[in-house]
Amino acid sequence: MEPAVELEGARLGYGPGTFELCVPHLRVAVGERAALIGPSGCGKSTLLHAVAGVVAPAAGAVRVLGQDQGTAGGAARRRLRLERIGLVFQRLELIEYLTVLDNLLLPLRLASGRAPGPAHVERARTLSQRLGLTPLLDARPQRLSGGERQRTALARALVPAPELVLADEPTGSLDPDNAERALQLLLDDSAERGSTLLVVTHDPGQLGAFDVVHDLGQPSGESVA
Amino acid sequence: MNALYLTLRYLAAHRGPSLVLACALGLTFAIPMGTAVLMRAFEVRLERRAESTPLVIGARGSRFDLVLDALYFRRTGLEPLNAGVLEELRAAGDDALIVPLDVRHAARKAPLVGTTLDYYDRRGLRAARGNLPLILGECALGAAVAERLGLGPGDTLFTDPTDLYDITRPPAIELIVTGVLSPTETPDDEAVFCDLRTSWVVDGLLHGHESVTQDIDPGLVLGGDEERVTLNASFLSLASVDPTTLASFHLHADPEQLPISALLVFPADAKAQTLMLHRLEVGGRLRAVRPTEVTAELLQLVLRLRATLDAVALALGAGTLLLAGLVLALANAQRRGEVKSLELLGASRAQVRWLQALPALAVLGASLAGAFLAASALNWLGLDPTRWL
Repeated sequence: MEPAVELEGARLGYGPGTFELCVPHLRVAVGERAALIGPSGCGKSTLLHAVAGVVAPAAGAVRVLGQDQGTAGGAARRRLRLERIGLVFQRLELIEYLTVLDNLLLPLRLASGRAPGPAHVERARTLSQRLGLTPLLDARPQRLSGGERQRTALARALVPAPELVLADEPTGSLDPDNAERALQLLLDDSAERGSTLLVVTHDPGQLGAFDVVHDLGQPSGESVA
Repeated sequence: MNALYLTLRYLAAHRGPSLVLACALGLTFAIPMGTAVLMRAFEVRLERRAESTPLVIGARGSRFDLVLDALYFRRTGLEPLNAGVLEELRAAGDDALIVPLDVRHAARKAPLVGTTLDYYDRRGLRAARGNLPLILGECALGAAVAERLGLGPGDTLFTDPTDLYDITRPPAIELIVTGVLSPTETPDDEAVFCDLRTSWVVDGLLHGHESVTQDIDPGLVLGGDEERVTLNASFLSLASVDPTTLASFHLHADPEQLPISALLVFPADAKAQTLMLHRLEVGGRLRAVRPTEVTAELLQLVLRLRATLDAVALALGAGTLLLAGLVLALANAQRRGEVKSLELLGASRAQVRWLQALPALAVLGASLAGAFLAASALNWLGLDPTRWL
């Protein structure tokens, strides 16, 4: 079966003269729940951006959900990201003038050009409830704490029920209880829908919950657990 | 629909600045649009009034003052004619209807127009309530005056004093309202009409008082002889005309010297008009003008003024648009983070550009719509700019 994510001899970066990451081999199977670890600055976020198609690889192959991100054009990469991948960015990237609920539904609006249907709204409300966001659905992000903003970004990634979820330190700003709850939600959602999960984390305590851990600090970047 | 929703959310979150910007732009558009509407109304009404009056005759002086007096009852202080001129012109045998006007007085701040029944006939004025004034001391109110003063047939109103601080001037006269005229959307709506002789009563030239030969209080008599009686200041002229006092009104002056502001002339045809104009020009004593020519001149002056105003509005508008452009550029600079977020989520460049442009277009559209609505409302209200003449 074709993997959800596969990198072969990939050189990743943001252009000439900037940091460049080399990944000889990395593979995440469909439905697999993988963690990505490594020291700060080793390129974990760059790898996630390359998988999401935010940047194209400078060399090598980055295949995601059957699409070669190296040969696909910008429009195709954007479409794949919008329609089939859920993203939790390190900087969260919430839209400040939209309410929490509107932020959760934003990827669906951008993908379809229409108002989301009742099923999607219901899913947004259910996920909000599981993350303790229900009282905040009508609030704007500027009123939220750092942890509430992070949970909002997490819920936004899951609402469209994507085939692949990429999360860059999704529990970094959360207290231990909420971090546990958020991680469990990611894992449960993946298990329930059979979606693939690739999470960047610095918390060694969380690693046991994943099927596989990829360490970018290792020379091969291969799995260590 | 989706972009519109997001735009509305953006505008709602920034409603204060958006509203201020829309109002500023709206005013920029509304001022020239409103001016154009008012100018058009001014032009149409001025021309319509002028076209319904072929000739105006008055004393020599400003032709503008003459037309403003005769057509708009503006009381410009133009030297009056003598009533004798009216008889001279009628006697000349021109094939024309000549209607005298005296517009030197006012009643409750509305112009008091002394004229004859021919005026109502020529202007198509009808009494919507009551009757036209026929005898001394009666008046009919223009529709707007009646509404403003809340008066109708049977009520009375006083003329405005000719001079408050001169006790030798005649007192205000109480006029009886016999009718209210149908609205015509002309200066006639803003006037009070009476018989020409009633105007002379206001002047004190035609007046009434108790008989000084019978039953007079001896205390009022200061002296006199067979032909003349001198009375003290307690003896007052009558300040109203009613059936019991009507007969006591009389004239001390020469009837041919009585004042008239202007004469409206309605020649039977173009030939009669030309002949009459020629004769008056040769005579040189009077001024005869075609109101259409005078109003055309007046419009030229106003149009030149409007061109200046338009240039000022254009400069201000350009300034406002530049400032609005700057505000929008700053707003877009502030949205860089949002743009990056949308691109990271997977929005296409077209979507992002559309989302950036729509709020500006919405503000522009709202301001244009507001300006258009304001101009339409101004048009619908039917304001009469000739009132400001």
